[in-house]
Amino acid sequence: MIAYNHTSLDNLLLKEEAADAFHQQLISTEEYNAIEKAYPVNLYSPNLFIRIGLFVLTTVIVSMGYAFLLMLEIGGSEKGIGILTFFYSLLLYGALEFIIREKKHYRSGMDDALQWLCIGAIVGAANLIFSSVTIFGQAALIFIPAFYFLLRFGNAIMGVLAFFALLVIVFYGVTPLGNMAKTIMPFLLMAISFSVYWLMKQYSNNNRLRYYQHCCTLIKILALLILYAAGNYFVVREVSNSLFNLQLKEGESVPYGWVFWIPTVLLPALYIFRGIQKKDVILLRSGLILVAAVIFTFRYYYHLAPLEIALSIGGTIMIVIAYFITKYLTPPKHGFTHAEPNDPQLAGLLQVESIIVAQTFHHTPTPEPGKHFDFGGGSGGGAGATDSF
Amino acid sequence: MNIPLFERLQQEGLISDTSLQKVKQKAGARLFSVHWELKTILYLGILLLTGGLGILIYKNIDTIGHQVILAVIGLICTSSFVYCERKKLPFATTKVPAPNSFFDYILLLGCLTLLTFITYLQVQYTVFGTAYGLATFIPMVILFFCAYYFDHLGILSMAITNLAAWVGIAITPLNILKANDSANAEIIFTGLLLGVALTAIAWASERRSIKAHFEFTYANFGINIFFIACLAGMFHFDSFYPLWLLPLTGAIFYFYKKALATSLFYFILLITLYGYIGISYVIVRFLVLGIRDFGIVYLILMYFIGSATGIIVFLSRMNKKLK
Repeated sequence: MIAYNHTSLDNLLLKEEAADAFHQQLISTEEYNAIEKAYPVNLYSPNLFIRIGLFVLTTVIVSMGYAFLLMLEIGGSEKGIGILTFFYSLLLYGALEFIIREKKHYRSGMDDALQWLCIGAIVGAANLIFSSVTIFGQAALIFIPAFYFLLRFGNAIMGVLAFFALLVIVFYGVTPLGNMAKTIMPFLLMAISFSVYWLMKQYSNNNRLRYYQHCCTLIKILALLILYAAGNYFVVREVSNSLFNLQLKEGESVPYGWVFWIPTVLLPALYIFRGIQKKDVILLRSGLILVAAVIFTFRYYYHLAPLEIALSIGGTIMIVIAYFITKYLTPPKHGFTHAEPNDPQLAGLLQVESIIVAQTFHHTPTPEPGKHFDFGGGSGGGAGATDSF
Repeated sequence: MNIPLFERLQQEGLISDTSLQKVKQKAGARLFSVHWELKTILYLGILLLTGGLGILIYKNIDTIGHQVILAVIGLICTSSFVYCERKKLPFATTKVPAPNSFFDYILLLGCLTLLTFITYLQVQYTVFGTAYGLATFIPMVILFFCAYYFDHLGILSMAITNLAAWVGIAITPLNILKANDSANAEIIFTGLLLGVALTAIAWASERRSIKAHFEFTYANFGINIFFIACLAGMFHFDSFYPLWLLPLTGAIFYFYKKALATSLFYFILLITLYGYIGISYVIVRFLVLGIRDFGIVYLILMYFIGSATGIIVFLSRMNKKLK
């Protein structure tokens, strides 16, 4: 099913393991080089920056090519353009298979872009040919190629897309069945997410699925988050209110709304608990992220304290918790440590960290707009820069 | 760690027995690190606390409570700085590692509360007056001082952001795109100069090895500000737009050399994309204004298809060259 040569992918997995061992200084440089020589990887997978560049440029080429086609079809009917778009999507798929078979592109940015654009073209074509496609139909149109791409190219983002499309299909497929269906909707979505998570958990380490490990990880995270969202009081109330036309007033709850407070509060706690118990990073981090969701949901309906006091107290509690956990884990206990994982690939994170800091904190007094330009002149700026050194 | 895999490698004679033992030992004794989880909690805690205190002051201005809040902020600020001063390793012009994983965040807390304090003094009593942007200048100086004295990249980024605010442009990464709608000629030239100045500081930091590891942060802000100012200038000034190709090409050349020297793909990607936008703009505009014929659209489309293909080839070559 997978479009790539199995030996290449196996060698890639082996090389990743070897690189990991090499970075932790478990094997020597000579050994690492010998492994690289014995198991050559002939796939073209450039680094992240090139990947972004290739993604953007491929999108430019494909959209310009499409514009070219449209120019030829000027004055044509909507249906005609639709059929043309459909053929264009086939052409894109052909190009995708070509660069993978002949040029061995693997996560190069070009294959990512072509997969997205191909699905876009299919959906666009359907909308042009059949003037009104239901949301159910759109989701089905996205699900089929996305699922196919997931299996054929092992693309994790396609897996996410397919999962979302599946949920939309279920939602719009079941809702018309009546009020009973609407009532059980949250539980149905939760059940689906849980099953997906459980399946991924069971099979992600299966040898037959070894090429899909990245996909499994991403889908597991998503399944956990959706499992929570489907049972979250805020989501259930607001979504039912707007999509099922309940016209709830402020302070009013959906029928049996209290039921949803149970998963809203308990699920994150359960994730964190299981995450610590099983030493499972995915569960632990999802749980921690969802604590924020619990607080948000709670504050949205019950104002216990004004925002600024809640912020200050919450912040203090978080600092104190972080401090005490660090103290508790010095020296490491129960297999947990607070020391930085020894991974040189994470060195770049320091730069990212500094950018995040600059992004989130900039509440210094800014000069009033009127006086803005008085000292904003060119020479002043240059002088300022040298002044501080 | 996939033990069977390493056993196979050992049987094939690719790794030695000792290496296999090491791998097995490591796999058995692997500790579960909650480092990043703790750091994130700490970071968010500081974010919430300083944000909360900042609002709290203004809501309670003119009440007795606000003196208490001021005192609390002052206390947090002083104790943070006292902690950092005690714990810090001796100053050096090279990279000084943080003494523990808490240090960086305590320092951040100290700096942020200090800024809240200064802002309060300015708003309530106009301590620094309204002239010469002193209200932004002083926090900037403090931030630069802390960044160098305690060796902190995050605070350096904040200081640079502040520097830009002082000369009149908003440059946190997102605001670069949002706030600078390039309508003002003065801002464009300020941006150009600031970009050059930051790049020069980056160069000097490395050359003189004064905190050489700050170089990337300076260069990163410098390159982005410079290119955005350049493109903004190109879009803004109708009559001389091709002239802007000169600084653009200069910058592309400089950062290309730099990327080759440091093997940084990030700069390659930036110069490619910014340069492509600039050159394409000039070419398309020239074609549209020069030839008034409908067929020109085909030419433009062909240009984009051809040039983008060319750049894909270029990026692939660079990928091989810098490997």
